[in-house]
Amino acid sequence: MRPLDWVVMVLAVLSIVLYGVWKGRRDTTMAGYLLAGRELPWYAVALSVMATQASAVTFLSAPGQAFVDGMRYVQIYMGLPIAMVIICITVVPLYHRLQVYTAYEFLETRFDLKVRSLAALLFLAGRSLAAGISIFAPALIISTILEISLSSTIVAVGVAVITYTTLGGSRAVSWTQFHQMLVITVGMIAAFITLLYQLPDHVSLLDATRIAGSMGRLNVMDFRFDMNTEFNFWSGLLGGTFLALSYFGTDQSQVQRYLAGSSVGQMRRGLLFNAAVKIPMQFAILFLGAMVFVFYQFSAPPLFFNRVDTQAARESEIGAEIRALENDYETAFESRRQEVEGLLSALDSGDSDGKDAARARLIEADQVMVDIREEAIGVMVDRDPEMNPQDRNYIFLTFVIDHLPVGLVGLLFAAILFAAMSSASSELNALASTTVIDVYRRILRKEASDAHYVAVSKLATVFWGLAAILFGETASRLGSLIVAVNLLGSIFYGTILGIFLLAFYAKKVSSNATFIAALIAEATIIAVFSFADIAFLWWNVIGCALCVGLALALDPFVRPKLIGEDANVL
Amino acid sequence: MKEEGETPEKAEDVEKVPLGSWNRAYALVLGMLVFWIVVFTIVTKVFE
Repeated sequence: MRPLDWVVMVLAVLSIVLYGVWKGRRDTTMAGYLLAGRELPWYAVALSVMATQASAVTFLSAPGQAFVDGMRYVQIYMGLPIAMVIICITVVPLYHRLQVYTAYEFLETRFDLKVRSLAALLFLAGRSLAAGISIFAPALIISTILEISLSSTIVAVGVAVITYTTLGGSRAVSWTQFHQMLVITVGMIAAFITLLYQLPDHVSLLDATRIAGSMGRLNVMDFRFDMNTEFNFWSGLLGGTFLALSYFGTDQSQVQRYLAGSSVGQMRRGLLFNAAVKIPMQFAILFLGAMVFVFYQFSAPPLFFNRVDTQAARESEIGAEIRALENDYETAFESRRQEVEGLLSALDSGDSDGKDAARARLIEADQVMVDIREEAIGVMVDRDPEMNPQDRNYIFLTFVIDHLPVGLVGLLFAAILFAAMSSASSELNALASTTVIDVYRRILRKEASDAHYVAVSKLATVFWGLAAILFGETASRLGSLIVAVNLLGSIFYGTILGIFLLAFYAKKVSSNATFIAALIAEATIIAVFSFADIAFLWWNVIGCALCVGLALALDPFVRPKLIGEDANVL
Repeated sequence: MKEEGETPEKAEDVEKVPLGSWNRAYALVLGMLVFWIVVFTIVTKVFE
């Protein structure tokens, strides 16, 4: 990366930290520090919710996903609008009128302290690890591409987030997210436009789209019902609805964002904006990945996009073999490029037989490249079994650093860092508020001044921030567990959603039944995660169904023979 | 016995908010979902 890019990136990060600290400097009350005074307008709520959900991996993985596998990943968001409407109708007015700080406070009004505490602990367990990954995952990719120290990158990002989240509180988190999201959007649009200009002159956007489609990269919808396939319409619609209901309705990192809205109307507008925009936005990010794929039909791609691993292989005892494979890959690329030109001519001619033949030749030429690449990855993994054979997260930033103009590269790296920071800041903010509201203030110290609780909230933010950095630092040694940790949300969400559904819709079910059912459901999902081969979106459905079903079935047997409110206590 | 300590207002006491004019916004959002499903299905079929 050139000096100007470094200047742009560092200045952008420093500016956002200072802005966050300045924005939240006057919040000395609990409502001010944890909920931005409950006075945010809908557009701040909207972008804050969006920035919390869209982590750095979203902007790195999604284009890479489309590059490798096509655009069917977008189906994961099909349930999101449905969930948002349900949340706007049911959850938002309830939380607002109860004037809660956390989603889990509501559970005590319906059940009792043990159910509230269980839900809060499930959230703390899942989200604390996720916060570490929010920082670690992009730091790994950025440090590899820029060839800088991973530890320093994790610490730098972590310290920046801790600084403004601790000093500025929820107001700083929401308003920095607002600006971070704007920068990310501008960066991604600029990258897309530049990419189109970098395609050969005779290749239009329509041509590029037709090439991507011919090579299976525009496979957006898949209506086959298959529980083992991660991305199809049905898992997206059903599993995605449950996932989004859990995430936006019960995960404090999201609930806290819209609780800061100034009214029910402002919260609803913010959430419905996300419901309307999320699917086309994700489609656009994936389409960018499909266009990067087309770009590399005309410009030679590296054999393996993780350049550090490639360089290490070149300099090792398998160096000669890797260089030979790189030469073969380049030759195969030239052949494939000719077939791409052939396909373009066939598409222009309108001859359907010629088109099918050209497409078949192109796919055959592409397969030659795929085979050489897989052989190279196999050789590299044989030499270093710890090496990650997946390189899709490196594809987009490799394109950025190799082909975008100076200045824009720095902006794109800042955008990726912003995406990481925005997610992590929400998570730290939510972890701190759950720790203070649901544990410290509820159980340890019930009567104290606002200033005291704000001070403890700041300490809790620092604690969880340092824990996230520490986890991020050790995550590099966890190997394949990283993949598992990325699925953590779905391990806990189903059970938490089940508890909330019981709270909302099963007025007669006792807290005893809910508590026991939640424990069994959570143990089952952990067993499914460990031993069964079921796509993770379904864990949300299974966990939720188990929790609700078991609570209804167990209720007559575990309900204490008491009347009134005593019936809810073990 | 109910646990002691500071708890919010009872959930059951909360007044139900009527859907009112928001129905149109909800219908619009769900209509957009159907629109995108149709568009994506066409994109998949046309460009495959």
